[in-house]
Amino acid sequence: MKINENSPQDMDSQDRGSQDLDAIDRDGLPPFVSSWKQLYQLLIGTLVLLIVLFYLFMTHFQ
Amino acid sequence: MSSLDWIVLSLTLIFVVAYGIYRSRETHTMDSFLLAGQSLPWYHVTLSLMATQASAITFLSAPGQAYTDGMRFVQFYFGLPLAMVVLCITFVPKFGQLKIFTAYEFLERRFDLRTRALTSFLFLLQRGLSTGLSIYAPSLILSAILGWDITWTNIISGGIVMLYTIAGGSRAVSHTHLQQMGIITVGMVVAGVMVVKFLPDEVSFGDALHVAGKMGKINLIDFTFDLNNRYNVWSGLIGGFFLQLSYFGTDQSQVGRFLTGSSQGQSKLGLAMNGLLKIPMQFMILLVGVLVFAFYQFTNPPLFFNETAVQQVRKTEYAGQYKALENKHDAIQAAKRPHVMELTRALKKDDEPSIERSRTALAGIETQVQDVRKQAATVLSKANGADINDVNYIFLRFVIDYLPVGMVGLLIAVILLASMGSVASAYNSLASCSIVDIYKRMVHKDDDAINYVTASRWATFFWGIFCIAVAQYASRLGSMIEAVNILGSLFYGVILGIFLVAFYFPKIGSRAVFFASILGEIFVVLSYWLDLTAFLWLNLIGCVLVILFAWIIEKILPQPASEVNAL
Repeated sequence: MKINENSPQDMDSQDRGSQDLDAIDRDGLPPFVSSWKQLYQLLIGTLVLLIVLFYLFMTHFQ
Repeated sequence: MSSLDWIVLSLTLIFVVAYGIYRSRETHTMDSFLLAGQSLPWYHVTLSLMATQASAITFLSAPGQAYTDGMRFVQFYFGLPLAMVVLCITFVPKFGQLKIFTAYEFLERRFDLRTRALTSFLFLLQRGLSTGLSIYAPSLILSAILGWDITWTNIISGGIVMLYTIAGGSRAVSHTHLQQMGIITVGMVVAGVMVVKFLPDEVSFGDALHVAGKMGKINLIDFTFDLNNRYNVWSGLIGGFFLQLSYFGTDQSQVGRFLTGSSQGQSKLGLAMNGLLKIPMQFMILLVGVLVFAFYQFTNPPLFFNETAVQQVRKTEYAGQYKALENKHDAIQAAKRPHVMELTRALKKDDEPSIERSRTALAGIETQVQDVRKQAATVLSKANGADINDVNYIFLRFVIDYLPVGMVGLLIAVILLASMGSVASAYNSLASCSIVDIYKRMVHKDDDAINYVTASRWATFFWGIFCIAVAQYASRLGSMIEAVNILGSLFYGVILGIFLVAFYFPKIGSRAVFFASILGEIFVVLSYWLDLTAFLWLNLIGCVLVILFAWIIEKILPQPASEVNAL
């Protein structure tokens, strides 16, 4: 039976490694999103929203 | 201008220039001179990207364009957020991983030296020319207000920026951008509020928008697909996407801004926030132009907004002809006023038949106004011996004629600071390319770091002189904001095509992309020359042609795999 091939020391360094990678990936990420993908979705969603709002603004005043 | 205006203008400029020079401390290495030591947080990156893109042209031309052509120009920016996403996913990680100074350095690693040299050359040519236009814009204001000789005005306004860019490099540029954007935002908001305040008492902000809207100025969205229509949703989303991707991803004046981020994350967030803020900012600037239009529906506007040109025509044989047109214009404006007031009243009562009646009458009168303005432009062109256009003077003339003492100085400062922001980034990027891509790579390969910084300062000086020289010839162009974008569209698509091949076509080699880019550029210039399509589409055409030609050339004359470096 294969339980765990890694020593506790290896696991610690792996955890630290993945934490470091996670920290690098999350660097600069604003608190209201959990990933860069979400931030990009927010950006595209805002663009669509702006086009809709501009359209409504135009039709209202024209 | 009054003394108070002079004080406000002088203090604002001295503060920003002195601050820029103060930040020049600690600039002893190429990394700190060209990339601010890659130490800046995301908000610095965002504001620096925005300040670089928003030149004086933005604040002069855009309100004037809204006045004459409505707000449809905002659609030009719809591709920007999409471009920011692609930059964050593809360009930033690749540039960060290779630790490069210029975008074109990446192309040598992927292709070869000649591809790097070609794109650097295209960039230097395009950016050098368009920076000349950016210097010319505020010079135009100063010469119009103070009656200065335009040559000396160009030298002074372009020279002030050289002071802190030569002294402090990228660090000074980024830090002054922060102050500049703050002052610009305050100035434009105050200008917008003042226009509303100057409307007649019975006319509210909403009424003004209704009047402008009924006269076709709030034409924000056009879903019609038309290749010859400059501004619609599709040209903005597709053509604009390629233009913005090329501008932010391959133009060193912008690449140099996001490379100053302290990490890839900070650079990415800076770009993303630029994508979030740019369209609303442009909307607000155009809205100020529409409000100025609404204001002039209740107040008699000048027949032609370029007062200097009008003063010149009065001294020529065409003076009588121009005076007759002014009288005709005044009569049409006087006839228009009751219809505008009737429209305002009908809007308040929601009286549809009356609204429609006033709108039809105003549309007819507006056509007459435009006819008279065209005739005036023709007379002025004959008298001045050159094509005359007043789009860039509309907002400026309003500021000078109506804003209170102190505010005029602030608004002039806003326009000058906007110019300084974009010109400073351009000087810095032109110096970066000249030193990193040419001098350090081909002339002096192993020099001391301090010598490279000195060479960078000399390169900044050289490009400053070149751009000022170009500014002398800018006066013959129409709307400057369009002239800059047209110039960019001639080159950006091809440069973007080279970068997209580099990123997404790992099997295509340097030979194919080099010849493809030359062929692509020839086709783009021919398309523009023969007027085959609206200029925004040139970005897409150039980009697609380079990819297509490179793919075909690679198929016909394949380069050995050992010579292709996919990175």
